[in-house]
Amino acid sequence: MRIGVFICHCGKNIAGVVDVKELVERASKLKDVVYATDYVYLCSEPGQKEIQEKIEELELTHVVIAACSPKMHATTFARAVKGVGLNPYLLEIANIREHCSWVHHDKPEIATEKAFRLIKAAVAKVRLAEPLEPIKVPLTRKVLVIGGGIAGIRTALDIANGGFEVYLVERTPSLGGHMAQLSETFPTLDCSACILTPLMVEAAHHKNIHVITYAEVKNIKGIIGNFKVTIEKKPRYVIPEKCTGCGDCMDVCPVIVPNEFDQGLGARKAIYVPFPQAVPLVYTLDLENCLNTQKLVVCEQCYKACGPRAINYLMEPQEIEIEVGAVVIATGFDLLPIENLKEYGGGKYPDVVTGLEFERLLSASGPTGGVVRRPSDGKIPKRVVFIQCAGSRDPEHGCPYCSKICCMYTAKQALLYKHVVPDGEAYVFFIDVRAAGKRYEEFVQRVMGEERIVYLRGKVSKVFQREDKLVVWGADTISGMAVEIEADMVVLAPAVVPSKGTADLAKLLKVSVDEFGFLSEVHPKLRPVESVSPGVYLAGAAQAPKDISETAAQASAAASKVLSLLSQKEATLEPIVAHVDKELCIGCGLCWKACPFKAITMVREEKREGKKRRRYAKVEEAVCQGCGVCMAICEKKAINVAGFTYDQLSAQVKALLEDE
Amino acid sequence: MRLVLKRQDDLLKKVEEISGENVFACYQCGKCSAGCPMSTEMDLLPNQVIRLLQLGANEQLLDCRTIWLCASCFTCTARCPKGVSLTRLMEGVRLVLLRTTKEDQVSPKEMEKEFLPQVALISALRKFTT
Amino acid sequence: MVIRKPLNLAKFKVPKGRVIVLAERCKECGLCIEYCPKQILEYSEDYNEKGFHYPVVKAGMENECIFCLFCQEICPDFAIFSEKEE
Repeated sequence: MRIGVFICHCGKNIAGVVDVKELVERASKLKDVVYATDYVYLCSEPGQKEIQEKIEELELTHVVIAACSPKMHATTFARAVKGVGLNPYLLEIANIREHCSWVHHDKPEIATEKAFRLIKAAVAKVRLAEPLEPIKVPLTRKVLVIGGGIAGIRTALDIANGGFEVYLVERTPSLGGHMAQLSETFPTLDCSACILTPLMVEAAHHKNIHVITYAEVKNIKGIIGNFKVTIEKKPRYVIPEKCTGCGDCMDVCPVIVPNEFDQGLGARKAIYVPFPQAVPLVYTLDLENCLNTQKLVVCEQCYKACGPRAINYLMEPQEIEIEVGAVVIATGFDLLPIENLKEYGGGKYPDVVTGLEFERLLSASGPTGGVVRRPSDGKIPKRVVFIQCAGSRDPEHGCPYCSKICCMYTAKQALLYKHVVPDGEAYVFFIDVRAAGKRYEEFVQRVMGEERIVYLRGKVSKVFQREDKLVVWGADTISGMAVEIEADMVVLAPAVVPSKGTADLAKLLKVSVDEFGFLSEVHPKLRPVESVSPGVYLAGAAQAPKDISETAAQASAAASKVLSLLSQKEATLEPIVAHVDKELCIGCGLCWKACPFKAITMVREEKREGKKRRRYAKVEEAVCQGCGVCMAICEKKAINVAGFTYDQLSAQVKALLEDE
Repeated sequence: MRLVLKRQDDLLKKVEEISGENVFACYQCGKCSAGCPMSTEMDLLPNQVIRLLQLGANEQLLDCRTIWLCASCFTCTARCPKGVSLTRLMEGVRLVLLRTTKEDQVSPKEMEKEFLPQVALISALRKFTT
Repeated sequence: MVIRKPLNLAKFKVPKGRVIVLAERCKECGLCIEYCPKQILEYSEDYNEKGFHYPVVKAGMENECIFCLFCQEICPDFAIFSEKEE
C-alpha cells in the first residue's frame, strides 16, 4: 500500500487560514503514506499533471486529495487519476475548504488541527477502499415527454428529428398548453396560435412521435436507460380513428357548460374540442356534465348525429405500458388563483380578471371574438387598470419570487387594448418593469411613449365597487401622490405557480421540488435542465417561471441532453451501490422494506446439501442509488454500500476522534 | 388628498403642441433632476413636474415654483436618455400657465436694475454660444 | 368565489323540443318528472280517466325542453314523448 497525499492551497481560500506546510509534514508521517505535498491550485492543469506524474513516479496505489468539496472537483480529479491507470475509487477527497477553512476562517489554529484530522480520516478510509468498475446497463432508445405545451412539443420535435421515438403525453384533450390561449406574443406581436399550430401539427404527424392526449402518467419504475411507464388514457367516449372533427355531435348536445380553455368566460357543450385548432381534432365527451352517467345511457343525441358512428358510451380507461430510456418533464405553470388576491376584489367582483382571462377576451378566437367586454354586463370598458406583481414578489402571499413574464405581458395587453379600444384609457401600476429580453425594453418604451399608457409606480392597496365602477386606490411614489382611478375593468397579473399535479409527478420520478413546488435542477447556472434523478430532464416553466423564448431554448437544451445520452451504446451508472454478504444476512427483510427505490428483493437460496433453504436479500444494482438506508437499518452489518462500507466509515470516525 | 386620474386634458395637449415634445417618452429615471443646477432651490424636482403633466395633476403645477426657477441651461435636455427636451417642455408649461392665468410671475417695475433672473442671462448667452 | 358566466352563450344552440303527453296512458309513476334534466315537468291539477295525475310542462317553461328524450325513454307506458322543434 503506497498512499500519496496532495494538499491544495486553493489560492488563499485554504492556505490563508490553514497552515498547509504543517499539514504536509504531519500527513507524511501517517502510516502507509509514502508521499505528501502541497500545491497552489490542484484542479489546474499543472496541478493535475503533478498528481499524475507522482502517481507514476512513486507507483502510488491510493491517493488522498485535501482540497475543496467533492461537489466541485470529484469528477476532475477522478479523471486525472484514471488517466494514469489508477482506479478512481481508490481516490478519497478530504474537504478542507467548505468544511474547514471557509467556516473557521477566524480560528486558524483550530482549522489546521481540524484539517489534519480530516486528512487522517480520508487516509483511514482509503486504506480500506476497493477498486470498482462502473455498471453498464442497456439503453432503451425511446423517450417520454410529459406535457404537451410549447416546451413538450419543442423537446419532442428536437428528439424525434434526431431519430429517436418519443411518447408525448398530455393531460388535456389537446396539445398547446397555455400558449394556445394567448392572443399575441411579445415583443413581436405574432399571433400565438399561428406560430404554435404548425408545431402542433408537425408533432402530431411526425413519424417518430406518438401523441397521447387526455392521458396521465400513473406510474414510473426503473432508472436511467430503463424506465417502465404506465400511462392511463382517460376515456373520451369518442373513437379517435373514426372521428372526423365535423362537430355535428356538438350541435345537438343539450348541455352547455363553462369552457376551461376560455377560463370560464366562454362556453362549450358536454361533447367538445377545447378550441377549433385542437390537435388531435377529436371530440371528447365530458361525462361529468353529460346527461348520461356511467351506468345509464339515455340521451343519445350525439351518437345519432355522428355520421362515422364514432361515439362509444361504454369506453373504459385504458392503461398502456411503455419502456423508455429518458424522461423529460414539461408540465408548465398555472396562475395563482384569483381568490387569493382579496384586496383587489379577486373572486368577488366579476370585472376583476386575471391576465389569462383578459388574454381570452383579446383573442380573436375567444368567447367575444376579440372584443374586450366586461364579464359583468358585456359593455366595452373605457378605462382599464392593470396591476402588476399581484402576488409575486410578495412573501405575505407566499410568492417572494418574481414571476418574470408579467411586466411584458401586461405591457402587451395594455397595447392591444388600446388598439381595439382607441378611445380607451389604460393605466398600469408597477413596482419595477422587468424587460430583460431581446427588444423587450424597446417594446415597453413604445407602450409608454407611443401608446401613451400611464405607468404609475406603486402598488394598489384596494379595489372596491362604487355603483357600476371599480374604484382603484393606488400610489405613485415618483410624484409622491396617492391616486384614485374609477375603472371599468381591472386586470391582475397573478403570480406564476407550478401546474397542478407537478408535486405528485415529482414524487413519482424522485425529482426534488423547491419550497414553491418548482422542479429542482442540479445547478441553476451550469446544469439548468437536468434534475437530480439521472435520466430525468426538465424543460419549461415547470422548473421556474419563464417566457416562450426561454422555454423553447430550454426545451431544445433538454432535447440535446437526451440526444447525447441516447447516442451512447449503454448507460453508465456509478458503482456506489449496496452489496449483500450472504453469510451474514439472516433474511429479516428490514432492508427490503426500507429501500426507497425498491431495489432490494428477498430471494430463497439454491438447495444446499443437508441445509435449510434460507432467505436472503438481493440488491438490483442497476436500481440501487447508494443512499445507504439499508446499511443503517441492517442489524447484522450484512449489507454495505461499495465505497462507504461499515469498516471504512468506522475507520474514518476513529481517525477523527483520536488524539495523535 | 387623493388625485383622481382621468383622461389627460387640454393643458397637456397645449404644452405638447407648443413644445413639440412627447411627455410620455419620459420614463422617470431622474437624470435631469440629478443634473439640474437649480434643483436644490426647487420645491418639485424637474422630473416630478413631468410626472404631474403625465398624471394630469394641473392644480399642483399651478402652485409649484420649479418652473419659474428653471434657468433654461439645457443640462437636463443634454443628459436625458430618451432625448426629451425638458427645456422646451418647461417653456411650454410656462407659456400655457401665463396665457391661462394671466398672472405675472415677476414684476419688472419692482426689480432692482442690477438684478436679473438667471434665465435671462444664461438662456440668452446660450443662444450665442455652442 | 366568482363563477364566471360564459359571455358567448348566444353562439350555442341547444335543441328545442315540444313535450306531448298522452294523458290516458299515464299511471302517475313520476319517473319522467324525476328524470327530466331541466325539471320542466310537474303533476297536473287535473286527472285522467284512471284517476292519475299526468305530467304537464310547468307554466312558462314550454321553451325549455332540450329534446334529450329522457322522459320518452323512461316512461313504462309510452305516455310521454318529445317532438323536435326546428
